[in-house]
Parts: sequence; C-alpha cells; structure tokens
Amino acid sequence: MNRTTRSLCLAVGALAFGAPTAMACVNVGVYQDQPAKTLPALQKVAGKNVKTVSTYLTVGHALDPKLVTLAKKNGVKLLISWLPDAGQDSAKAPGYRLSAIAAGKFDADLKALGKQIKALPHGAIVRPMPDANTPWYAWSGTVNGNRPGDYAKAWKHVRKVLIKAAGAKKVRLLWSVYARSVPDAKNNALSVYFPGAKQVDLVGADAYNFGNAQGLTWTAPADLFVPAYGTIQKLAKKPFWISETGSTARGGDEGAWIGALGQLGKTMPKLSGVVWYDVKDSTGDFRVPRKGAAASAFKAFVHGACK
Amino acid sequence: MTATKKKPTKAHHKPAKARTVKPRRHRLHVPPGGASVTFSPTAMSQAMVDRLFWRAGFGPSANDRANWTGKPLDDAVDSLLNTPQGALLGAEPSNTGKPLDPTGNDTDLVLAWVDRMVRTPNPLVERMTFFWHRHWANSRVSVSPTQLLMNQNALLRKYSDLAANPDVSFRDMALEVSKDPSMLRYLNGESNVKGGPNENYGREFMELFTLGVNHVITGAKNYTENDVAQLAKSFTGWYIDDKDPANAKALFDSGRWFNGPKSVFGKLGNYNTDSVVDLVLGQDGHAPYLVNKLWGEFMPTPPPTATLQKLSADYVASGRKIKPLLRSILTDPQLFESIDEPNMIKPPIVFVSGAMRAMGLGITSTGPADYLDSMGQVPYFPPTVAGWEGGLSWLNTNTALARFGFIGDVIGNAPNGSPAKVADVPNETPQAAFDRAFGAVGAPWMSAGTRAAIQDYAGRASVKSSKDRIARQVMLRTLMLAGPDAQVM
Repeated sequence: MNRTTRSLCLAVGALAFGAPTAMACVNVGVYQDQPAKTLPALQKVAGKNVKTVSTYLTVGHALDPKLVTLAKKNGVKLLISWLPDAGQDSAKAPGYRLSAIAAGKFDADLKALGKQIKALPHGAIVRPMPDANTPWYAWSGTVNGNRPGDYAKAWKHVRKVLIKAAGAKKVRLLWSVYARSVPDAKNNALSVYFPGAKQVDLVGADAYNFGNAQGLTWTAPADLFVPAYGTIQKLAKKPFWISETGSTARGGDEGAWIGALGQLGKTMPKLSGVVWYDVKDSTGDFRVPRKGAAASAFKAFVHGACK
Repeated sequence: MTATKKKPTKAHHKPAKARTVKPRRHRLHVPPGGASVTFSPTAMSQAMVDRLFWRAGFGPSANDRANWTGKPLDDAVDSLLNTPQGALLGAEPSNTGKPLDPTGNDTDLVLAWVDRMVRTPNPLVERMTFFWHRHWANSRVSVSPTQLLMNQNALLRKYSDLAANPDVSFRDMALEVSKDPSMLRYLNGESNVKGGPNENYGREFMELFTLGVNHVITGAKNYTENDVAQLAKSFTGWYIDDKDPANAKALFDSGRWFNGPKSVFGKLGNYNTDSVVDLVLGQDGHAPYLVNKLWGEFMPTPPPTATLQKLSADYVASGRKIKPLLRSILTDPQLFESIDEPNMIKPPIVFVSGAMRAMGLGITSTGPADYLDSMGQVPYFPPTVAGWEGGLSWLNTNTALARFGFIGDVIGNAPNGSPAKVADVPNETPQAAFDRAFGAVGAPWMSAGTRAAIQDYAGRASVKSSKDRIARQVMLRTLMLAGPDAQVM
C-alpha cells in the first residue's frame, strides 16, 4: 500500500467509522465564506491538516461546484449543515416547521443532496438542523410553532431519506446542538432533542469564546464544551465533534485559548473533530490568527491533527 | 363504493430541476450573557474545579485542573475525602535559615501550621483542621505550654483526615475536646470543681460549640441560664498533668466532680462529661447548628431550610459522622452558585497559603506570619473563643493593604533561586509580559474588567531599562494575586 492509498484509506476510514479509538487524532476543519479561494492560503499558513470544510446549505439549493471540486481534487472532507428555511436565519418561518420536515415536505431536496454526496469520493458528514436548542432558527424547538419533541421526528425522517439516497457508506449524520441551551430551561435541554443513539453517527456541540464583549466573559474551551460533552456522551458514546467554535482576542490570550483547545482531547477522549469559524463578523474577529503566538498555537494544533 | 385517488394534503417542496447554487454565509448569534458556565455535576468545567479546590482547599494546581476538568464532581469530592494527608511535599520550612522551633517561639508555631497548608498533598485535611480550630477556638494567649495547643491541633487533624479516620463522629470529637488539656486550660475546665464551678466551658459548649443561643430553624431558645449552671457541674472533675508538656494528659478526679443530681433541659440525672455531651448533642437544635456552621465554611449564603433539614436528619441518622455530612455539603449545587463571579472572600489563611502554593513557595522567613497578623488572622491566636468573624470583616483598608503588601513583598524581594524571582525579558511585548505573569501565578480567575485593566497597565508601564521591565513583571503578578479579584473564591 503506497502512501497515497494509505492516506485515502485512513480518510475514508475516519469518515466511515467516525473517530478512531482513544487518543486518536482530531480532524480539524474550518468554516470560510469562500473556501475555494481562501482555504489554500490558510493551509499554507496553518498546515495541510486543515482538511474539513464546513458549509451551510439552504434547502432547495445545490452544493457549490467549487466545493465539490475541492472534495474531489484536493482531498477535502465536507461537513454540510443542512438548513431547512428560506435562506436566512429566522425564528418565524411557518412553512419550515419541524412538523413539515417530518411530513416529508423537503424529501425531494434531501434526495437530490443525497445523490450529490454519493458522487463525492469520500462522501460527507451532514449536520441537519443544527443548534435546535437555541431560539434562532426555523427548526429551533422553542420557536416557530415547533415543540422540542418534534425535533427527533424530523431528524429520523431526514436520516432515513438521506441515507437511502446517498448510501450509508457515503453519509454520516452529525447530531449537533448549541453547547448551552438558550433558554436554559428543562423543556429545552440538550437531551430533549436527541433522537436516539441508533439515529446518529456522530454527536457534537457548538460554542464560541466571544471574549469580554457582548455581556459575555472570556471563557476557556473546557468551560464551553466539557459540560455538554458529558451530557451528550451519556446519551450516546459516539465520536464527538466541536462542529463550530472560535475565539476572539478580546480580553484574553487567544494563543493560550487555542492551546487549551488542543488539549481538550485529554478530558474529552471521544473528541473527533474541531471546526473553526474563520470569519470576522459583527460579533467579533474569529479569524484564524495569522501571526504571533496565537498563530503558532493554531499551527501546533493543526500539526497534531489527523492527516 | 368507488375508490377515489386522494389528493395529497401537503404541498411538497419541489426543488428546481437544476437546483441553484447560492452559497450561504454563516453568521453567529450571540447567546445571552450571565452564567456562561453552568453547573454540570457529571463533567465539571474548569470553573467548577477551581471553585471546589478553593473552597475545599487552597486553590487549584495545574494538576488539579488537568485531573478533574471533565470528571464527575462526586469523584473529585470522594478523592479529597479518601486521600490521606500523607507526607508533606517539598522542602522543609525554615525561618531565616534555621529549622522551625514551634515550642520555642510562637512565630514558628504559626509558621509550622502554615507550612502544612502550603505543602499538604490533600488540602482538605488542613482546611478542615483549621475549620475545627475556628470552631473549638483556643488561643495561645491563654494556653501554655505550647505543646497543649500542638496536641490539640493533632486531635483536630484526626477528625479532619477522613481517609485515615473515615468513621469519626462529632460526638467522639466533642467528648475528646471536652477532656483535652488545651481546652481545659483555655476555658478554665481545670478550675471547674465541685463546690466552685466555673461556667465558661459549659456556656460555650452550648452557645458556640454545639447548639447556638437560638434554634437555627425555629428561633426558639436552645437553653437557659440554669442549663449552663447545671452543665458546668456536669463537666467538673478534670485536671491537667503537664509535667511532660509533650505528653500532657487530662485526668479525672472523682473528688473534684459534682456527684449529685443535675437538671439539664428539664431532665434530671447525675451527669458527667460523657453523659452530658450525649444529652446536649441529642437536643433538636444541635444538628442544624452544626450543619449550618460547617456549610458556612464553604458557602457564603446559608442553606435553604429544606436542605438544612435534610442534612440535619442525615447527620443524626449517620451517628453524627463527619464524613458523610461533609460529602453532602461539598457536592451540593449551591457550592457552585455564581460560578462565573466568585462570591466568597478568602480568609487570610487561605489567601496566604493559596498564593504560596500558586507560586511554588515554601516557608523561609517570618513573612507569612507577620502578614497574617496584619490581615487579621493568626492561627493559634483567635481573637475570642468564637474564633474569627469572617465574611466581609476580612476586608478593610488596613487588611486589604496587608494582602497587597504580602504578595508584593514575596515577589519583589524574592531571593535568587526562589520560584518567585522575576527574570528580565528584553523586548517582551505587553501581552507576552501579561502571559508570563499569568502563568507564573497559577492562571487565577480574573473578571473581564480586571483583566483589561491589568493588560492596560502592561501596555503603559515603562520598559526602558531592565529594572523597569522587572518592576512591570512584579507589579503584574502582584495585581493578579492581590488585586480585587484575587480576594474572592
């Protein structure tokens, strides 16, 4: 087996079986607005092991061909967040309630997506309806006429259709919630959204260190993720993805924060993937640091990641 | 009947034949502020680990954080409860180059205990020993020879090392302390004799050690003046043999004991020390009083009544054992209230020992004892039999200055070879200087405002010379360990 074949097998293996056993490497990914343009530059600075690209796909739309090319020619793995709404985050979208998803309203789209994934060399991870335990989306459990209990029904339906279209070997479903429920209420607890261990291939959570801003305080990676990790691992001992994260440099040591992120595998042994939000938006500058100690820390983090 | 084809009732969303490509930009939503870290007993956050190790010890070490973050709270508490104190770690203490002489001078006596707190592998043991010292407060001012206090200290440690002594009860402790030479001397038990009773111990036994004046829950009076007088008679008969101070003993002389009927709580009996201790501890007011007091060692707000009642009932049912009660308190969610904004003032002894542990320092001078005096808490020297008031009383303009002075002194005047000795790093950026200081003092909790202010200082301080840069580093560390945020846990 030559090096290329072996790498390919490892990549497919990681995708097919989720995270390898304890002390295995962690997959590192990024979200970028235009990864086809910017990923190579990031890989040049941070390292080639940034192999997963996270993308957000509105229902009714096809995967960007540029992403497909990245996956086919550059060995990039895709993490696709499937978003059943009108194209922008909204808690008021009656046509996109969880009950409609469960009733099959978007099956044609799911089938089409499944076919696209089937054509990808390594398939893809699909993250349907993420962060449903927040009030920000059409599929959120506490808004838009939804009930938290509706989520599991919608999930099961999405999984069934998608796997039928793409094939179980090509698609892995990542069940991912916001690490802290908003609102933090019993009926909105993470567990309420869980569809069952057999219904998920991977589990995960999202959270960010916004720094000392927006009424929030600098928060260490462990404080962001370990509580949710503990809760979720009790639901299902599946490979765990930090499916969205990032840190600003406001009010703390971003390099130390990244270093601590790289150590999380010690306390979260099922940690299998980390996706960094490489964007500066109105909430803060989360871009992967390109210089200084923080850049070195990120580079070291990537260096230790899955190849 | 003819079958008709049903029209689909739901309009299905049909994608266009060629689905359009419209990359979606993901943008973040900011969650509401407030408690950014929640209570998670199955997988502790680092903030929870920090809280536990401050409240039940002298602050978290890097190892504590690495070992317990992500682990269950129950396991961490059990580890603290089930790990014997064992041998002290690190270098033996000294006072200006000489070994400590606790029986030779009182400063060394104080330093020897601070040394245990700094070097103990299981800080809970010393925290509990100190709690019992506050509870059964005896002062060196009234107790001589020194060995009596040292022996009492060992007695209190026996009831604090709950790995070595898992089944100890408060009853056993109350009995032992009632016959302890130091206590007999401090509260005049040795002069409490038939025909000339001294009520000091009998009064404090109920008022401070076991019941409190009023029932914690009902508010009813727990005892009368007559009960005090009768209790004093019950405690008569003891004297001290301290010819060999290190092995001083309390001895019972039946000729000094009031042998006759006494009426305590309206119950008539010929009580002696053993039977009257049981009578007092059997009072309904005892359990909530002790539970409330032990709870207050770890939490600034009292327990809810329902919790207090449950803990009290469990305590009595256990045979008044200390370990299960302590476990229940340390695993209570309220220990972690206000987790992102510490809300309990560190007692001086915790502040000093915690800072020394954070910097990896040992006892080498009288400094810790001197500064503890300025901060208002010298072990073995409680101001009254009620111990130290604690709480907000710990901070005033004088004591706050003493706290700052201690840290500044330890870091600024650290001798060569000391872990606290600050090195000059030319061309160090303000952020790098901040980071170096932060790491050197154990990465303590800081609020956003404090962090920003210290970083601002790092950017403004003069760095023209080596002396300037060292002064900046000393000040950064001092601000981190002695600033406003370092006063709370």
